[in-house]
Amino acid sequence: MRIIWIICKNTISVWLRNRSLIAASLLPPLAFLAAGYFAAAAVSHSPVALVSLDKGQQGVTMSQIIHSADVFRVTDASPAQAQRLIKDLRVAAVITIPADFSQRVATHQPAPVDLEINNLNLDFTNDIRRSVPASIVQYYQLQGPSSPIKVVVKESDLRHRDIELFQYEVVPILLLMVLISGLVNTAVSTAREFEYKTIKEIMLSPVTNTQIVFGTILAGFLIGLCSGLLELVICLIFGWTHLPSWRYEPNVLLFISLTALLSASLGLVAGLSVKKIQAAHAISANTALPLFFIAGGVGVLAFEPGWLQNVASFVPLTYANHGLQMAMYYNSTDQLGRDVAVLILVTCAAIACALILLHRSRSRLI
Amino acid sequence: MQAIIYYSRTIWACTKKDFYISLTERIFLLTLIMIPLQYLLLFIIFVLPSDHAPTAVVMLDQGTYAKQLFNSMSKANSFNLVQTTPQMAASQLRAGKIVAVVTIPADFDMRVQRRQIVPVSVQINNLDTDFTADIRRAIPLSITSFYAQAFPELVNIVPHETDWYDHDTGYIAYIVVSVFVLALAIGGAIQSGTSWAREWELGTMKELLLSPAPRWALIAGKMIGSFMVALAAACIVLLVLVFALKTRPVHPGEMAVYALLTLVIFSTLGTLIGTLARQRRLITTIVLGSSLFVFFISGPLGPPSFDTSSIEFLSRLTPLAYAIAGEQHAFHNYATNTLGAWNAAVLGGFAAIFAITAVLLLRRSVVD
Repeated sequence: MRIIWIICKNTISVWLRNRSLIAASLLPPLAFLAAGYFAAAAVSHSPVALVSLDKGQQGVTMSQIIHSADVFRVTDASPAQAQRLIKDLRVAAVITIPADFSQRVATHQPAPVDLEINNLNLDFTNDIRRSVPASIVQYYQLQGPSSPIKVVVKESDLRHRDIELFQYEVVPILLLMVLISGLVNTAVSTAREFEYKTIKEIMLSPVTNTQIVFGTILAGFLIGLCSGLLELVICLIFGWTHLPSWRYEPNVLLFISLTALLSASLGLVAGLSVKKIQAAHAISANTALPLFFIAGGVGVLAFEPGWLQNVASFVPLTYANHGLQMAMYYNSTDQLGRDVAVLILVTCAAIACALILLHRSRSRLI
Repeated sequence: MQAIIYYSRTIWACTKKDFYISLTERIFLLTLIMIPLQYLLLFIIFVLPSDHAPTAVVMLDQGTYAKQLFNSMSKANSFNLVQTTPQMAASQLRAGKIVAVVTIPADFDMRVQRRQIVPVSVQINNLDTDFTADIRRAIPLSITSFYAQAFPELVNIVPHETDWYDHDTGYIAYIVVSVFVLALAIGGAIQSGTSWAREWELGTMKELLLSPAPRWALIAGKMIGSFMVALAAACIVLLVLVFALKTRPVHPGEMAVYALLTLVIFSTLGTLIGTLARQRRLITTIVLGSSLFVFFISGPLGPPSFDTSSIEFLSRLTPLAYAIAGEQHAFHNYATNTLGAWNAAVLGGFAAIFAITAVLLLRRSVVD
């Protein structure tokens, strides 16, 4: 145990002195966090110009509904101003309530609400296409029993408050932090031993392969775990995420720990395979991102196409993501056994692989 | 004349050396080609499900009006609908497989005919507001469409839509163009940054700077070498875009100009980063770590002016925003900012600033 601890301490102290490695561990997840924040802001509210030509009661009511609907960023404008705004790309659409709107509504004639859309991509366009009818339904609902629209929506939500897009992305990004920290650091620190030839000294000392493997993995595990917990604490402080009920808190810790262990083991295999710092860094950093995306890092995996879900089922991070989301968002232990078993099995396989690779390296050295 | 020949020889020598070294580092070269392709694939995954929310519909009534409401939902361009039983729907919702369950009650037709209130139950898995908001907006859209079809005389307020462009562009077709620009930026910056950092790491920088060759010729030569390798990687991404994703540029010449300008800018930026970082490992970390952040503030999903004012302000500071605007116009004929052809001029300005800074940074005195 002492030897394992010494190898672990040595790896951690090298990591702490290596600013580029620390940056490599922290920068990508932090960049993702920032990117997620901006991406969430970008998809929330579309800017529109509202031209209210009708000063009658119905027109004013419709205008108020569009203002109060939490879907647009509304700018009141005259027709000329609105045209300038849409041409200058300040707004994505112009909604015009025609001058005879109230009169047409009162006389039961068709009363169109004009909608001019800059339909350059379907994301913005569909948001606006959905939002205007939503305002029309709301308008009719205000009429109470006399409303011609009798179909009303009775909404019930699965959780008592909405989880924002950015809040939702915090969990996979947390796993990305753990994955990159463990994978990159272990791969690079292992490759460094070979590139600087210090592996010779370790192998010629009375240290077994198992001790080297477990010492290196322990270091990667601790670095990954601490990075993950650090990000979790930051997210909790800023209110970007919330802990589940106390019964599921151990599950959160369990999945962060298992991911850290898995990433350290995979990092060791990568480092032992390439034995070059530059290659180990490139391979590990470029493996982490696809694994993160495929495992549902930027979306809800269950809503992705079937083929992608099939691919994701072969990615161990999928199970870590599922387990952590179940604990954090659903207060559930659904398929906990499967998720834990997959992570442990893949970790064991990686450790076995690392032992074989190290054994080969020792044989060649001797 | 002699001077020109001398400078050309210097540039050519630096270009050739960097190009050949790049070809010897096979894993790195492969990584350089793979990163943009990876990003392309990953961003497609990112936007794949965002248009259609998986939704279960429990039809307790199979009457005409109930079916009409279902049809309106299926035409709303928002749902991925599946008809199912209440039990199955509830279990799928709890397992996080669907976003919502819409239950059309057993007396739907009767109540609609009698003009009585009909509550349609909508259970939402409000896990991710992107989907939740779509559902909350799309159900009223379906109800309005349903009434506009079934009772046009009752519901007289309807949206009358006019589109700027004659066809809608899918989210994937839009975003892949932005990712193409990202690929150019990453390729240029990593390749050029690594080539400079290598000189520092191996100590050959001293020889280069102390040689009688002018600094601008060294920079130009090494930049052309990096440019050629990054261009090859960008061409692969372009081929995927054109042949696999069927996203073809409307103005191919304009596309080529913006692509070359982007590569030049990010190759000069790579020179700057390489000179400052002086470690190859740091280059990959800095470029990959910061590129996604810069990408997201540069309007990859839509015009930056549609975003918040802070994002719009930040986007003006990054060359990526002007490159994306230029390429979106070249591929789709869309204006995503108001600069038009001036985007190229702004990019040229960025290239000049980065190049001058790189020349100033590479003084002989920096070699100790």
